[in-house]
Amino acid sequence: LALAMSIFSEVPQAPPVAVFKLTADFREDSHPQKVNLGVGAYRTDDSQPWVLPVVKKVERLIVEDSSLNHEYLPILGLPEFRSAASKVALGEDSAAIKDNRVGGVQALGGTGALRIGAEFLRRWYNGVNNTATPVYVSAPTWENHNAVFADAGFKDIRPYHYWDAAKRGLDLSGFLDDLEKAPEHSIFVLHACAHNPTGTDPSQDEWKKIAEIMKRRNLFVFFDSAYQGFASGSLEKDAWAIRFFVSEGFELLVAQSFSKNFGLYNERVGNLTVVARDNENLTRILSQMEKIVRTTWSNPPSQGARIVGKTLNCPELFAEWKDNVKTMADRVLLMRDQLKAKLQALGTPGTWDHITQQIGMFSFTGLNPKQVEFMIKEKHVYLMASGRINMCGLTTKNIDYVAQSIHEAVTKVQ
Amino acid sequence: SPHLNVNRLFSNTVHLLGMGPPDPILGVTEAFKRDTNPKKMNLGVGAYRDDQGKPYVLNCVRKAEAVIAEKKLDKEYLPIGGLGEFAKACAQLALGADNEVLKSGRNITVQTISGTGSLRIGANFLSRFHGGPRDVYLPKPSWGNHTPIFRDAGMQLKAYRYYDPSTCGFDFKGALEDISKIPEQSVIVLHACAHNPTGVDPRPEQWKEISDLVKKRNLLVFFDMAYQGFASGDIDRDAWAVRHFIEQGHNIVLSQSFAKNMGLYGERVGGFTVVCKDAEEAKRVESQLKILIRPIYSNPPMNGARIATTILNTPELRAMWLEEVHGMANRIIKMREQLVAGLKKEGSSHNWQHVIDQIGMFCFTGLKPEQVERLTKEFSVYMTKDGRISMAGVSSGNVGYLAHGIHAVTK
Repeated sequence: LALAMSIFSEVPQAPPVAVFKLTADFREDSHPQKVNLGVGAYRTDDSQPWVLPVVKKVERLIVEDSSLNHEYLPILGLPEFRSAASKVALGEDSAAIKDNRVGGVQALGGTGALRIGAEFLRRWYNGVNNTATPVYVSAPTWENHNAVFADAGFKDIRPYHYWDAAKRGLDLSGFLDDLEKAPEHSIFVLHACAHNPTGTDPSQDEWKKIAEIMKRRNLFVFFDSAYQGFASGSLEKDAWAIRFFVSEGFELLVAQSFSKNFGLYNERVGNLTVVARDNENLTRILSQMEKIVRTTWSNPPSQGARIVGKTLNCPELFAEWKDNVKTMADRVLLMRDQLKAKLQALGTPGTWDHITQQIGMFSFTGLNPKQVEFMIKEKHVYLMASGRINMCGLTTKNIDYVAQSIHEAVTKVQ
Repeated sequence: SPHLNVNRLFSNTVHLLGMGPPDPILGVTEAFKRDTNPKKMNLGVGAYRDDQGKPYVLNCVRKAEAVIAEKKLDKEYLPIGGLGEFAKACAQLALGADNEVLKSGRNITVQTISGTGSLRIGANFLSRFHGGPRDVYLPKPSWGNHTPIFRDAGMQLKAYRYYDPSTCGFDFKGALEDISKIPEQSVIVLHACAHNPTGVDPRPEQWKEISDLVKKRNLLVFFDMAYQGFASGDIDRDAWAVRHFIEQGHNIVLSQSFAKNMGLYGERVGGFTVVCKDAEEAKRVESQLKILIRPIYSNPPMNGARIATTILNTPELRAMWLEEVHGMANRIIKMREQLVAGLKKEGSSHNWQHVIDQIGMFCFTGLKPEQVERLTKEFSVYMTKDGRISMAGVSSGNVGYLAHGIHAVTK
């Protein structure tokens, strides 16, 4: 009975998203010592997901509050969440907040915040609907950055030098050079901290150099902040770059994710912080953000925003949260120390200082694609083809096996 | 304060852009909030209210939440297409568990951010892959957000006649005439039940003729079903049109929302389905939907989908839900009857039968803009300019006042 020719007969099969395919392959693997160092979610030392104690507490409070219902949130989201989220990024004493020129758009995770920001910039930045404005993303960067800006309509997405594979660190001169040469008004996507996938962040002095050029050349600052608190264990430290740029007078966007630092991955909690020139500009910007949100998801989901909003706005809960975050950050730091120590003890060729110099969830090991393949196929240790490992996948129980596997990969496979 | 010399172009450009106009529907609520008249009525936004005028959290929802809390689940990312069990239950609800489409696996259903998110994914998908004309035909009138959703996705909007203001009913002849002229392979949007904003639905025999004509024109059908169960009180009856079209061989695309029928508004629970030629095509389509979804929000929120799935898949909760949705629909139907009775009692000489004939949350009263303005200014009754009222905002406590006001501005 079906109509003759399907209109979808020409739809090609798309390749699977790599990071999820990796987890799918890991799940199917029956090897007893398998380790998943792929997707970026925190794990305890027992390799279990961790629902933060403060989150459990707040969820109970929400369940017990019979005055709460499931009504629509405003288009821009839960007001107390938005303001608290922006405050976490910019700081308690933020002059910009006091000047009433900071606003938030609650979004579906960091991805949603990036997308709304990208859509806004494509429509209203550097002219009207100027799809030709270059967008620069770091080389390498989170694999979804490209698609977010491309699907928002930008036609010219370029890499900026970032990772120096030879020295396993930041290619600062390449980065600064790209900033000098970028067309005026280009958009630069900057990782606020814990760069994904390399774990390599600019130092404060390096950020200052970056800011100086960006200011002089009128380049647009779009921060991606997915790991505040998670990187160093300190909210303030991890937000230093954002706050510095704001203090330097930049109007900018910050896409914030609370997936990792609140462990609320599947509740999709994010916030797009807008730092505008003044309140009048902010008002107009937010009104246009509303229009974008309305045709994307109408209004955002309430559960996750309630949890985060409640936590950030209550001093005791806030303190408890910071503690939970530090617990996660400290475990990652411990694993970094131990992995480096074990590789050094094994005498694995090469230097491994980058393991402890890098920060956040990820480490760019420096393993090449062939070595990565060996790790997966022969050792059942799953990592991204780029050599990126999720430090959270390491535990005191599997770290010896992983270290040994890396050792074999490096010594046996060129 | 720091000298804000940087990025002048950002400010300069932004300076050019005006204020976005307030959303017409949500703007009504804002005005309502500011009004101090104790008798004020908010008949704007379409969220259900109980007979005390309060938001209603369904009992089955509360019970499902308790069940879920006990399970102490983790918060790990869902797949891009959402909770698998949800997608399955969602499709079953729409198509019927025995539907051949489900058995042959030739549908792909993904969890979406409620109805809006579903429509947007669908629009984006068609924009990218539909080889036919870029025109999407909406009924005249349609939900206000349909137009900007399709437009932002890169499609063009056209209309087919639907509402007949002279009868406050369905312009069946006009619809058929217009549909017969739609170029082949264009997209046509149909409201599965409880048309928004008019409340006017085709009768089954009219749906049959529409289906035949649409088939003849070889159009791609995009069903928007935001009110399954909420219209007649019966979920199968409300899905009749969708199921009939599939049975007739249309490979439809379908948006579903659980905002109203489960009262899960703010949890953003919805589904998007593409009925494909076969399971192989469904796999290809699925892979492309994921490519579309990932750069918007990566993967959907868990909470609402868990609640909906628990309800749909737990027999006692499902039964409870069917009763509650029946109850909500019944209250609306009763308010329609009481409004008409009230208007008669006020002495209105107009024919108000359409208030009873229309179905679902909304009623196209037939009031003209000037009359709406008077109703708002003089009686603090808030509604949209097109004369649409949300019946959910009517209660046994205020229906008499509403009848009085409507009579006053129409006599």
